[in-house]
Amino acid sequence: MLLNSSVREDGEIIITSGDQLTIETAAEFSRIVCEALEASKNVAIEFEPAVKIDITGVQVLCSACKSAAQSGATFAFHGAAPQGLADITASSGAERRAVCKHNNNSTCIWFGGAK
Amino acid sequence: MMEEAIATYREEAGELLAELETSLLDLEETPDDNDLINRVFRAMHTIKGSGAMFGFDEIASFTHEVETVFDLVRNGKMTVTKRLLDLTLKSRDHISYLLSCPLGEAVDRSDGDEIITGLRQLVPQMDLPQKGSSEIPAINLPGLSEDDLANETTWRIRFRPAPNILMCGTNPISLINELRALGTAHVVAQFDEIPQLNELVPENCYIYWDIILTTTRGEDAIRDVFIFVEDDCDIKIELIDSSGLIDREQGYKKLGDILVERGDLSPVEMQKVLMLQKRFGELLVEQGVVSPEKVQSALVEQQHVKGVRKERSEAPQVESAASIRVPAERLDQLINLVGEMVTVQAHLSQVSMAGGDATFIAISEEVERLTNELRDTALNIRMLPIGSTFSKFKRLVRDLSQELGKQIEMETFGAETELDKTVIEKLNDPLVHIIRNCIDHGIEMPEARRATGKASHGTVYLGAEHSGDSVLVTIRDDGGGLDRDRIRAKAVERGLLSATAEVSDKEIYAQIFAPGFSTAEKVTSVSGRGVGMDVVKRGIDSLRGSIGVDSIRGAGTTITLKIPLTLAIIDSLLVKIGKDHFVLPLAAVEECVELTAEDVKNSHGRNLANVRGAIIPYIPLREHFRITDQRPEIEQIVIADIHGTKVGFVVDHVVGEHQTVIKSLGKMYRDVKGVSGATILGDGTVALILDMGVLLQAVEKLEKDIM
Repeated sequence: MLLNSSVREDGEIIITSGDQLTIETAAEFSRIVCEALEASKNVAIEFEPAVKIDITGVQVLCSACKSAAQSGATFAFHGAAPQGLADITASSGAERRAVCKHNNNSTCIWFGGAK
Repeated sequence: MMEEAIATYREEAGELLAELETSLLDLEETPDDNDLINRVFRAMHTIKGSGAMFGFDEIASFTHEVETVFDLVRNGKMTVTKRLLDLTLKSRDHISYLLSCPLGEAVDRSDGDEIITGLRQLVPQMDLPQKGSSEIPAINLPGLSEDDLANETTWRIRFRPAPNILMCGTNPISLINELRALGTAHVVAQFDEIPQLNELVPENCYIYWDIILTTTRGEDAIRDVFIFVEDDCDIKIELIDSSGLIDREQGYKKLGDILVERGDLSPVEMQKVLMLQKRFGELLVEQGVVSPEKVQSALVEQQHVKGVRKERSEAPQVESAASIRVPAERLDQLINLVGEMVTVQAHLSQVSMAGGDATFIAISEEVERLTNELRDTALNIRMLPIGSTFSKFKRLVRDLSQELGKQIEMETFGAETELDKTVIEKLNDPLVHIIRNCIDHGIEMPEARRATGKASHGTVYLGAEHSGDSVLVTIRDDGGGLDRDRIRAKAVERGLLSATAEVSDKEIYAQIFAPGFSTAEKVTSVSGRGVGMDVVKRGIDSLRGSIGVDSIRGAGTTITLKIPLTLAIIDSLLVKIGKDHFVLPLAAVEECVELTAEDVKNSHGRNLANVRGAIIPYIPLREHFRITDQRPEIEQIVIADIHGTKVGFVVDHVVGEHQTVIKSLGKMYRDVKGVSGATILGDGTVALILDMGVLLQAVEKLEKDIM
């Protein structure tokens, strides 16, 4: 699977992660998510199970989450969170143990969630 | 940007290797010195860590092996032996080789494998990784001893990377992992500066980190982690817990205190919220004064310190050096600009004096004062302690004496003496040649030394000291000394000296600097081809320096290099002959006296002046430079002291002191004797800078002719 997006019948836009969300793909990933959030109130990511994620990937996810919260859209993922996300969360210290004020004080689904 | 970062790594790793070499050589003399052992370990650790960060995996994996051995030494599980030092010095050379290899290309591992094998033999029980492994193993620090626990300290680190750090090829997580390797760390990434998508530059780094680290390694080790990014990143390191700071409470600071200390909350806001008497963290979030992430980060710190307080007691706090790294080219550019400014300022002074306007003159004098200060400051920036080059000579002595089967040690003094960076660089080759000669020809074999009642160990002394606007670099050995008769015979044989001429020892010894001159019976791998001392002479000449040789047969030889502090700007005396200006370096000038036509007549063409009873020879520069226009009635003799000899230079007028920005002459003038360069005067005309030493040689010849 390549980094791409598609629209479902119900209007939800699905973004497929491809095998890496890293600095090489960060600009493209950011552009696709931005366009998706402009086009739909319902955007989700389908992660490749072996996807590799770096700091730039983390930043795009967080930024997209903030943008979605601002515009009243939902931004989530389908299926299980990939190991790559758990790895980068642990290595970068990204784990959220608190609610996120940028996400309407909801728990963070991307980086550990509120405990 | 990545290339720039790699170049910086190479440069800084080179400096670390120099420091490593110095530490190892010092360790040879004091093998129990823990500070030195720690310095070796730290240098290795930094080279390794930063190497891995910039993709120098070969360096990282090789250095890890050596570092692991020194970690055992550091922990008292191994002792420093000569074999260990030999292998570690070889490791230093191998790292230097790896550093010079293009990144990503295949390297020759044979030396490295041999060194690792040697290290394994020293530590047979060690669980070292397999040879040639490209994986960088984690540092296997031994378990914490009671001493370690006593030295544990806890640090609060806020690491805010430069926005372009990722584009420069640096992965902040590598740095965080380096910190984790130092002890127990809790890391919290802060997301509050990540903008919304429409403002996001995806390759920029918006995340910053709060790290609470408990370590036995001290602040230096933490700063070493950031050594290659500290100039561009915002790094705040605070000691938050050690025995010296313990307030003897069982717990740790309250959440609000931590947030206030971090600057995330003002004391006023804290008091306001405290009034509500609810759980403080929740209140802060509810009130919107602090983000949940920041509260979380502070809570992590609180829990971390509470945990470690049970175990450790004290740790030193080390001051960090306040310095920045500036490329040498920028300094060169600064010196050039200052040089131009000095020239313009001279013009300004000239115009203001000619105009006679008091206000204008006052402004001009103020500009002159500021220009002088600027010049001195700019020149000082380029000054480096000469000791930075001493370590490589210690290594040279160590390796060469081993090769030749001699027992030689090196003693240095005046390492703190400062010289211009360019001068230090250009001194390297002459010093290598002189020291090689000391070792090969000067110091005798141990048995020969014992036979003459000397200690079997020979010593080469290398030192530096200030002398006016110059630095005297002295190289002395306690070897056999120069063979005056043999040098003379060889010089006569080569037609350099007349067989019947009466010449001083100094002149005879000076023959060793003649091209191709050698009295060695056989050529060794070290010296004997008669090339080295010629190179020394040319090298020192190019620095506008001079060489003195003194030797006592059987007791040793002393070579003294007199080197100007800087090659850029000098204080000088501006003089005039006819319509032309000349410049004499002021440091050697002692006084100026008048020379009347009658004095000239009384000297009967011998060019000798009677100055308060002392007979001073002089050179009439007018004749020397064949200036033919009208000679003034009263001339001036500028008397200078050159290598202890007083000599006069006759000029028409002494204009006064002058800041001379030295410009080199073109290749066409390279062989002109007695002129070392030129300068541009305020009115744009050119004045030649006279080389008084060379002109003195003409006077000495003149004296002999008279006698």
